[in-house]
Amino acid sequence: MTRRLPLITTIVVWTAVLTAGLVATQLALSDRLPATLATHWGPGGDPDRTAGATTILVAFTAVAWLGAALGVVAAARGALAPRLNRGFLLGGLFGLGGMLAGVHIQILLANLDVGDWRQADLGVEAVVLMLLPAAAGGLLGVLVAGRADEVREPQAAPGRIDVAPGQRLMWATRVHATWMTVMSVVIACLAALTLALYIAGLGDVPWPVPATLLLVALAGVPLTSVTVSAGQRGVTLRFGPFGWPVWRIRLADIEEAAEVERHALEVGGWGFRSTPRATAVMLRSGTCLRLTRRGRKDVYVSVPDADTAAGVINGLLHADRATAG
Amino acid sequence: MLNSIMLLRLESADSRPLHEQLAAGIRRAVADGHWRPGDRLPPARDLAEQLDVNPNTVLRAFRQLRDEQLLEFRRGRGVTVAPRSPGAAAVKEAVHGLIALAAHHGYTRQELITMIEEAP
Repeated sequence: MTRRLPLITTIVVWTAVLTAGLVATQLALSDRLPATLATHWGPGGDPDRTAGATTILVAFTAVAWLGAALGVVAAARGALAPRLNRGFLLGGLFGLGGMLAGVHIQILLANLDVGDWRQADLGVEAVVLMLLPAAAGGLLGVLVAGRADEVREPQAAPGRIDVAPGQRLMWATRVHATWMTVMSVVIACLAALTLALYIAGLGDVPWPVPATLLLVALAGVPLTSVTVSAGQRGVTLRFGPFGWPVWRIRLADIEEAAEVERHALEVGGWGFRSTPRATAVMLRSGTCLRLTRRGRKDVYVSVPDADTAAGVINGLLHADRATAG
Repeated sequence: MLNSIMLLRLESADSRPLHEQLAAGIRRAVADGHWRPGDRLPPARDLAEQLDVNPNTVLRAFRQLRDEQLLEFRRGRGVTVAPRSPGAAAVKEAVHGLIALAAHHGYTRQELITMIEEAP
């Protein structure tokens, strides 16, 4: 508990400061702003959407607190104790805050001293104002998260299922990611919808929109399920309904296998992730099979019964080394 | 959500042929409810590689289980567990165990059938 409270406090304090900043800035400039502000600019640079000053403030504050609420829930569930998690959480929240502050100030600056929102002009600094605070916020969040919790859960000795001479052993599982399937279907529907609009010439849909959506939907298909097998060959991962692509990790390349608890946030997110520290296939929450490879990044695969999988791999490795040595 | 898990073990010391041992392992996974009706099995090629056996051995086990109506071969969907009541799988597994036990103690299949028929 001592660990979670400061994290939640940090989130709440940060969001309160952010809210105060948003309110203070807008109040300070209120005399120089029109009643209705331009909030969105079309491709030609002309403002095409507007909102009242209060609406803008409420909307920005609402997004900030929604992010905070999600962060508090995640922190309270205890899934986010380790440093990397805290880094991701605070980095994400502070980044969101930075972006909100950046976009907010950008809207205010564009509308500053104009008589009517139609005259609001977006400066060239717009992109910088959006990206820089977001990046700075993210960095600050990671720094605030600190390295205090770097000590991970005590690692138990990896399990091993002994393989007698003349014995052959394998383990397999199939993991479905319902969320990914739903997401792919939804995106595919959006692609179909926007394609229909494009063909019908309605709503000025540029062709890259349906094309991009379709690509995203297709890219998601291999991640809707994965078949993982472990045995004499090593570890084989087959993605998607067609069992393709395939990723084979040879037994000889594996140093050790272990069951570990990892949340998707710790290894870079859901789906197939590659970070400087590890490559991860996260299709479900809960236990992961960690493969420590020789001279290469660790591999994390979220599978049920990772304990047995690790036992099989370690058993086979031990048997191989016994015969070799 | 239930998980599909399978642990297969083949022993060269076992008197049963490899495909029999493999079929028994898959039967067990289905009987234990680890691999459920509609679930797809890993491809025969993966099983053969991971168990270091000939792919034909795996296919033979698959065919045997298909004949027992435990597995289904479907075009484009690979090999899946056939829809059936879990009880049937458990009984089938028990029957296989019984036949093996009877054989071990020198009873023929016919004698076993007679014993079942005479059972109260």
